[in-house]
Amino acid sequence: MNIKALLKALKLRKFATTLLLLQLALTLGLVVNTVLLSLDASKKLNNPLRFDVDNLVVAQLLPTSGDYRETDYYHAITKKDLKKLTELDGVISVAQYNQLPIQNGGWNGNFKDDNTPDDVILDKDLDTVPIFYSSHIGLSNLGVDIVQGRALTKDDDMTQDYYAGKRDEIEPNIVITESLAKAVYPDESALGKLSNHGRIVGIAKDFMVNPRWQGRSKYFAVFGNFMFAQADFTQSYVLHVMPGQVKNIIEKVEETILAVQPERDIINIYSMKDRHNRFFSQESGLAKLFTTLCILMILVTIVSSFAHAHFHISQQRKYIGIRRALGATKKDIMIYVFSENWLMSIFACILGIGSTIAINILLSQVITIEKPDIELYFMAVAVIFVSGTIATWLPAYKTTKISPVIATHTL
Amino acid sequence: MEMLIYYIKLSIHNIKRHTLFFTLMITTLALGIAVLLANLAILKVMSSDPIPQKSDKIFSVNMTTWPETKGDNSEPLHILRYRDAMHILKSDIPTYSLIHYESNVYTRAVESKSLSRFGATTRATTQAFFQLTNAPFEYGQSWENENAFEVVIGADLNQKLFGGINSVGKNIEIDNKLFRIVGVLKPWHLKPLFYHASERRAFNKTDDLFAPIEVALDNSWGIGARASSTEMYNASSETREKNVFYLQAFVQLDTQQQKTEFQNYLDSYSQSLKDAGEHPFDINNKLYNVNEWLTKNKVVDDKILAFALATLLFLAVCIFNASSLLLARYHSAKFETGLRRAIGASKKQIFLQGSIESIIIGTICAFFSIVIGWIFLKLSLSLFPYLTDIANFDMQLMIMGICIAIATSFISALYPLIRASNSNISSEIK
Amino acid sequence: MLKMNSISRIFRTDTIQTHALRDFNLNVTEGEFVAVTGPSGSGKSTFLNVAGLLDTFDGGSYELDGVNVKGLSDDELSHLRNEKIGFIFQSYNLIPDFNIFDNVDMPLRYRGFNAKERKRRIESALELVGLASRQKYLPSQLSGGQQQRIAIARALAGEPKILLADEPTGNLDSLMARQVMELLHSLNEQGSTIIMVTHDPDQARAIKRNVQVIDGQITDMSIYAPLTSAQTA
Repeated sequence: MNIKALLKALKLRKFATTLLLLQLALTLGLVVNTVLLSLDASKKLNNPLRFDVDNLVVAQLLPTSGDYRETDYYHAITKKDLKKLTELDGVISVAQYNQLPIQNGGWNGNFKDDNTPDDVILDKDLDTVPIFYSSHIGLSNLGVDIVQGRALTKDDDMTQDYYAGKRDEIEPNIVITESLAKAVYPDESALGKLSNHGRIVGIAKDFMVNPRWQGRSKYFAVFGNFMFAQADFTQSYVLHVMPGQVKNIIEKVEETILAVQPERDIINIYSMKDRHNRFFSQESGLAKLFTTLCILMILVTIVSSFAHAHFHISQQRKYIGIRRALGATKKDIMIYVFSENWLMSIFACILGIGSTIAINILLSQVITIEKPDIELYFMAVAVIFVSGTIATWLPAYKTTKISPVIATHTL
Repeated sequence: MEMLIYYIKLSIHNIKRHTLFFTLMITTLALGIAVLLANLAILKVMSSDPIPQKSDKIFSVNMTTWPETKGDNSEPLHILRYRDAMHILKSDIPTYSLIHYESNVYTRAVESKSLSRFGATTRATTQAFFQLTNAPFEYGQSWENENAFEVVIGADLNQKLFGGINSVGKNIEIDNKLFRIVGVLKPWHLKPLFYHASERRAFNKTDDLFAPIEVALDNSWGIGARASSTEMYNASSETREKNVFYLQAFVQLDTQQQKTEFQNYLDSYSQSLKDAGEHPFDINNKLYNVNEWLTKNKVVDDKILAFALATLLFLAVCIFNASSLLLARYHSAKFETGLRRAIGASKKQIFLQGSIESIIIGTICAFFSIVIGWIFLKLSLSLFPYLTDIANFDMQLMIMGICIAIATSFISALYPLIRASNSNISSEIK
Repeated sequence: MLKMNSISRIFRTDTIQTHALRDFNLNVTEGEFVAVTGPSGSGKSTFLNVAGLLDTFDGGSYELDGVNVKGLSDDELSHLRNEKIGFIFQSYNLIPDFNIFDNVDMPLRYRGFNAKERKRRIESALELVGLASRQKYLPSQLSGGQQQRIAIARALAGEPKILLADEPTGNLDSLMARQVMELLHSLNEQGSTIIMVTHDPDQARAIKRNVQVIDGQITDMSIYAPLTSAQTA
């Protein structure tokens, strides 16, 4: 194969060649960066959640009637709801929560040992520790195990004392997650310690609370046994169901709740898995958008490669005819045409390094995106080669139909 | 004129003759433009000025009053506690000043036979809200008494509760209490929702119900947005005396002098708090006008912006593609061009004919761009649920699409056309 | 009508210079029929291209129908070409997917005639070549000779001062070639000025004035006795 001749032929068509090179390089850059975004989104989605996400159903609701302003009424209805929901076939357990895992923000407070003086500056992430109020089964209902100490019991329920106005007198028992325990008591066991939220009686396994938070704070959680009753605050129920029952249960939740008392607005009923997907909908949405764009770009590039080869061949018909007349086989001609495309691809891949980095820098000005790596780059190069080769196939095949006789024609 | 018709005739003839070629070209170009248009549709709404008449005169009030003595809390907050907010209302420097918080209530028309209640996003605010935001009244007006059980409702809620009639004077029930409607708003599209641009709510709809803030607090209507506090509280009614930060304040300052005076007013207030030992931080109160406030809250979504960059690149690729296709096309039409030149067409005429062809292609592109763009917009919105119904193709955007289509089509044709019209005549024909 | 004085045309590549025309002198008066002959590579085609304003020249002067061509803009040259010159090519150069009417119409469009005038001219030009009934045909539906006659009609429609023909019968069999030559002779008799490049000595012999181009220079050879068309037949 004569690379010199090829280069010369390409040089003759500077403009078209430059355009195609730019196009290939841009496509390459975009493919690499798109895949980066998609990988990032799926990595976030696949980050282990460490609780029984697959078998949980979430219901969120708000009372619509002023009657719920009465704490006792609120409590009575809530208890009835829990009872009725637990009785549903396929449900293992149900608990109410003041907030749910997989969230942004939420109900947070600072968390420290009770002996820590007021003027000590806490680590930033200890200023906003998610405080969960649920029943005594709050953690096990989510599928989170206790690793040290004990779980909360019915006796730990502080609801009555709280609403009886003895808020300041009680010393509630709480369970915290491992990461939080380690953050507050790095050198000793947290078990039995008194915190500003109560006595730590148990330590639970870490589970995902705030997926977008950095490092250990993702897993921070404090659990207390308390039935918060505030009519204007969204109430959440989580139903732990038997495997395979999620869909079935989702259909029954609304009627069950409304049968207890109809003056409620059911805001959401969905699986925890769904909650997780919705939580990352923007990341995956962006990844999908970029993927769509990427596919379009590859299609356009195929069209271009096709046109380029086609154009080249129509320009070189006679030349190819002469080659045929001089004894080149059809295969030789095919390879000649393909090698032009491959040569272009090689150049584009060199340029592509630049465009990949440039696009990455450009995007990193507005969103968080990881740095491109070499494997991804080679994957994109493969895509470019394959699509280029496919696009060149038809024109290349057509050239083999060029008769050697053409060499003897004058143009 | 006759020449123009001839050129158009020739172009249409050409397009018909090379269907596959033009289909490829038009499709790729239209795709490129469509994707860009869909993105522009979103960006346009995101970056629009919700209240152009006075966006530079309305300010979000941000203050440093967080009562903690340790750490770094000098960054001003847009959420204020009740007594700070009251201090703002007390000033007569601003032309208008309002405070508000978002809530949610369930309500029904008292006269209605049905007992079911409708959820209503609620703005607990002060009377000046309506003048400051230029809220459009259909019937009635604002409440006069900040302690009266009187509300203004939005068009949607009025439709739901009363079928859209003039409901001024009618009563609604919230938590077993009666409220009298004193005003009904026209359909009110405020995008972005500048008075609540924080917490990613800039593209929420305007509220269903507006009520005096004192009444909302007396009735303990919940706080539906960010609230930070240094002490426990159970209900919003308890927040007046406590360090609960949740109220947003906006003021209208028509002159620079007003602005300076008001800034001083805030600063001396913060200074007095500092002197009283409430906090040790530097005084750092800020007034952001509407557009600054929207920028600060990143109302233009980074992700959409990133995608816009990518769509621009894609359009570039499409233009490159169209251009190289056209180059091939003019190359294969060399003979005809040469012939026309020989017969007496000047370069200018050849160029003109090509330009007209590119404009026709551009126009066809524009049509497909708008159609594909609309589909792509729907797709984008389905992937970003919080943006749903913020954007659509309006007239302005369609005109923009047509211009972009024609411009890109022309740009793609430019180089090939120059080449074609300058090609050597004698070598093309025999 | 056509006055070329000491014309030179040089083609340059990176390494070589070729003098396609040098000190080229030719004077054609109105109503003449000139045959240009010469071996291949002698400069015949370059001459025709320069004469037809398709190509520029490097030195000398060229006057076409009283207009000095040197230094004219592309617009002016195009205009001149359109108005004063009719081309007849060896391979007809009809646009295959335009019908006969539209093909002949082409030069008239650039002249800016109105529809009525164009129609009149097209019809009379087609009449002249004897193909008036074929207006709606496509070129491919006609024989080679007919196609060349259409091409001649296209050249005539603008009522040019001079017809330039480049081997007009090169692609035709002898019968058709004869018909085309008859047409050209009769046009000449009706007053058209014609310059025709040919390599066929018989054809050349039948033409009043012969010039031969050798190495880019001209040798006037109007030595042949003019023959009547009857004698050539």
